[in-house]
Amino acid sequence: MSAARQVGAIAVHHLHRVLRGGAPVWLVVIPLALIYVLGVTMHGFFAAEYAPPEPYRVLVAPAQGAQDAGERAAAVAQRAVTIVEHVSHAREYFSASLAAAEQARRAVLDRTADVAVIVSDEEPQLTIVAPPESIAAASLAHHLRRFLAASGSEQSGLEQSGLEQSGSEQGFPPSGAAGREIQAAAGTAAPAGTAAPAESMAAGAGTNTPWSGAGAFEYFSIAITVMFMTFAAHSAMTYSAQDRKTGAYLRIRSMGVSRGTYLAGGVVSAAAIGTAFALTMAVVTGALFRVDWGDPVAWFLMTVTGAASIAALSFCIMAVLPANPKTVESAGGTIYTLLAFLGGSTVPLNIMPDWFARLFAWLPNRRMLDAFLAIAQGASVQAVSGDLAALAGIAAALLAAGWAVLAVARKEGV
Amino acid sequence: MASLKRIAWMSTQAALRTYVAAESLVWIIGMPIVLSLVLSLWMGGASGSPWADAGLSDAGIAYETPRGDAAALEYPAMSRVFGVYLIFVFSALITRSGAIHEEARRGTLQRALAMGVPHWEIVAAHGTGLVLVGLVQAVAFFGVTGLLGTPWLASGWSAVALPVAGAILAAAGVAVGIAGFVRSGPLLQMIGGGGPSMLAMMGGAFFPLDVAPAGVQRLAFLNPVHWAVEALSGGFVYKGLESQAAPLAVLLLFAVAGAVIGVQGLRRDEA
Repeated sequence: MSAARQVGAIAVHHLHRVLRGGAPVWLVVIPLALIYVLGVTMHGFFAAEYAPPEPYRVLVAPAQGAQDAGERAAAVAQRAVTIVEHVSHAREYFSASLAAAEQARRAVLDRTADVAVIVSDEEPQLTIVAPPESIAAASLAHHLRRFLAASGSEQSGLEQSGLEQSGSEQGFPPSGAAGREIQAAAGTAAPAGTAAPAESMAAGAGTNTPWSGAGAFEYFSIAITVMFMTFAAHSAMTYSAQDRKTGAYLRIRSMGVSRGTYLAGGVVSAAAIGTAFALTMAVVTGALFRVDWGDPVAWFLMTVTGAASIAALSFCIMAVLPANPKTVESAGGTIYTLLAFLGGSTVPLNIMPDWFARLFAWLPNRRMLDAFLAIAQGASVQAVSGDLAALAGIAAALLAAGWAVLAVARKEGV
Repeated sequence: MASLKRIAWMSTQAALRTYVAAESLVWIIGMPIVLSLVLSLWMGGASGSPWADAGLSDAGIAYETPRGDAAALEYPAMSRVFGVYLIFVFSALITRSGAIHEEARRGTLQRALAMGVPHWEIVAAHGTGLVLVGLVQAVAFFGVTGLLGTPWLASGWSAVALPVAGAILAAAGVAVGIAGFVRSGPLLQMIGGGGPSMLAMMGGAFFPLDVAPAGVQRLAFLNPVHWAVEALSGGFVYKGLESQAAPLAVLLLFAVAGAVIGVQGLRRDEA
């Protein structure tokens, strides 16, 4: 039997074991459930036309001291009324009404209002009272900022009756743009409790990234597939480690299979299982969630190269750790869970800060995610050739490192 | 009294067995701390005005927390770390809840019953053991993350201690409930591995549910993670104990309901 046939036989055997070990459930049903849950739950972070299920409840109030009688107080009260009218133009997003300052603050504290806007004739002109990570407040603040700028605040603008212009003229965009603004606010307010600069909000954050044009189901179908590809590939390597413990390895070796052939069988089976899993997920997510994975040739090359890089990483993990299947399985689970988080599989990259997205762009699973997203959005083989080369390089380097560890640290007499 | 002593002994042993294993230490304590550290790095500098970097202050728009205090500004960073904790407390306790079935497989459960230990004591010790595992995890997690800079006590001890206690009880109850009907170790591990992450995502542990569809927002009412997060925000952002009471009551309900359901399932081992 030639070495290639031996490798093939080992790979097919590992594949059978994975399938017999309940893989259809944990490798298909669980990722699909995750994609569904994340796709539905995080839809608002991706949909440009997002609108809240219920309009955010906004209370606008003149500042406490400005409620006394007098010309200034009347002007502030008038401003409050104008802001209510202005905010009400985006009725799909905000439901605004007037209140007294104390009542508005109390309503936010009692959670009967989402945001309170306190209007003053001194700086700051507007005080927004809301929980620190309120998306309603972040999006409202950006609307009002544009509104203040447009109303000529440089000349003490509120009094300049700029506010009297209609909302649509003033900066309340039509609902689609409002949706994008809220989406951008959501995307940036949510993780860090901070809103992004208005410029980037208006433009839509991170427009040049592979994930900027992706929908929630598209993003998570790809991200979760990449995540579970690592688990699928690692299961083959766990079986390789198990063979040592059960004695199967020694029996195989005694039948004339070289150590290199046996290990190659493990790596090939890991890559093959990863590829088979990716193919299954591409078909199923295409059918269930209408995800278009793009150019089949580019997809195939990326899948095989990515699976090879993951298989090489699993091989390296197995080489470095003691030959105990439980340890190999647990270590792989830990490392791949961490990689999934850092690589944007569990928390979408569009709500991560830019530095986070840049810092981990070199990770193999992250490269796969970026490339698959790009392919899904129409990228050709040529466009992702850099990622293909990088992943092939990572695979080669990890295989060499793993082999070096085994050859130097664990010489065998067999 | 003898019963209480036996329950205390068995539950302490169960908790000790959990933490003697290096693998458990890594998964139950090490991983959540590492992940929180990553999150804290990510959230670095997030406290302060929520839109300090957005130029809103310059535009004449100021921000104020509902209580008007600065402690609430720490909440966004803290709530993500708390979200990590919630995933791992539910994950650890659900996975550990299979210990009673493991004992049945090994025969130690049958031997204890043969020696006259009532079944209810074993189940009670099992539940108490889960709470102890959760308590040790909480002390380690909140101690280390506190030392690393998460200001857990910014709004007083009750703001964080009550949600943590509620989460541990709810997680233990849910874990006993699941263990009552799921006897397969791998299946429990699968539920413990994937379930809590889903609960966290759908319960608003990592992002506000404002952006989620109405159905998901409604579903959150059946999600213990959501109520734990509500208890934390009640303590840090809203009216303290007054805002925490309802979420804590719901968490307690989860604990009791889970335990009652689980005990029904575990009774099958009694015969």
